Amino acid sequence: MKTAFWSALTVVAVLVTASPATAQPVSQNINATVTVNPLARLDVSGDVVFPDTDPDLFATMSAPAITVTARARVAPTVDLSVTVVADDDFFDPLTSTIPVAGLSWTATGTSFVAGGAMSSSTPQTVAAWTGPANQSGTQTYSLPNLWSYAPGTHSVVLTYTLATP
Amino acid sequence: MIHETILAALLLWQPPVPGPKTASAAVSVDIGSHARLAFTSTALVFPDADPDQVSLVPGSPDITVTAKARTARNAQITLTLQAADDLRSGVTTIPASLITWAGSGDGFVSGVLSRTSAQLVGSWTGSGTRTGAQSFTFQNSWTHPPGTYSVTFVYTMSMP
Repeated sequence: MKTAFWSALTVVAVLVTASPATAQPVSQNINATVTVNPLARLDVSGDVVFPDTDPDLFATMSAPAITVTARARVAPTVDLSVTVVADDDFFDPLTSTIPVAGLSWTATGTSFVAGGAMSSSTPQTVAAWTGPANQSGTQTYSLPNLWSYAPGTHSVVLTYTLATP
Repeated sequence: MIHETILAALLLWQPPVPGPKTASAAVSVDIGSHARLAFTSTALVFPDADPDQVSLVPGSPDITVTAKARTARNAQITLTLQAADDLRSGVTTIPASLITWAGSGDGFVSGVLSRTSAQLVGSWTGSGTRTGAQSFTFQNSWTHPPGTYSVTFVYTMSMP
């Protein structure tokens, strides 16, 4: 009897020690979330200043270039644009000798329009693109230098707008 | 059908994008006062002529005058001419007033040369470029002593 019991126990012990050595893989899921909210920002590097010059020596007045930077987080199919408009028809509204329409620019930069002329009534396109972007370009303004201008320091304000949904 | 329409509208709708989306830049222009006179010729010649045949000797060439000025809107601009001396050949003189001119062009007038006072050549209001011409004549006479006479014309453009 004792011999049968110990034999059975031995068989059980053997069966127990004969099971596979590797453990079953364990997996666990973690959900990661990144939030990207829509956002837009428009920056212009500074003012435009035309110094006085002799009209016979310089037919065109020039000013140092300014940088326009437009950033937008939008859906890939959204159309965006940057426009500019002046706040008056003339640099000198009292004497009306320097029309804003004479102010023109050339531009460099991806998605920037190569050039344009200012308006006080219709915003003019400076740049346009589709989808999110970090766009930066330069504008160089010029103005005809005419003898018919009234002397003085005259100014207008340009408003740039980044159009987004 | 309504459900599809609402679904399409939701799919096309874009949420508003926050952030500063306008910027401004001031453009200033400094316009200084400038003035300039220009002539097509700085030499005027009256050739010899028989007084019985040519009583008024034309000068050559006609002088085209360009007056450029940047000035206040209602400022008056005047251009005058005065002889620096009478016509002189050594110690011999002939009155400068024997030279006259006919002016042409907007704002330009005719006149008689004077040694003693500036004579009006043209007048205008405000900034601009004005161009006109002067045709000179010399009053010929048997009483003029022979010689080669010369005189300097002094043009002056005045504005506030």
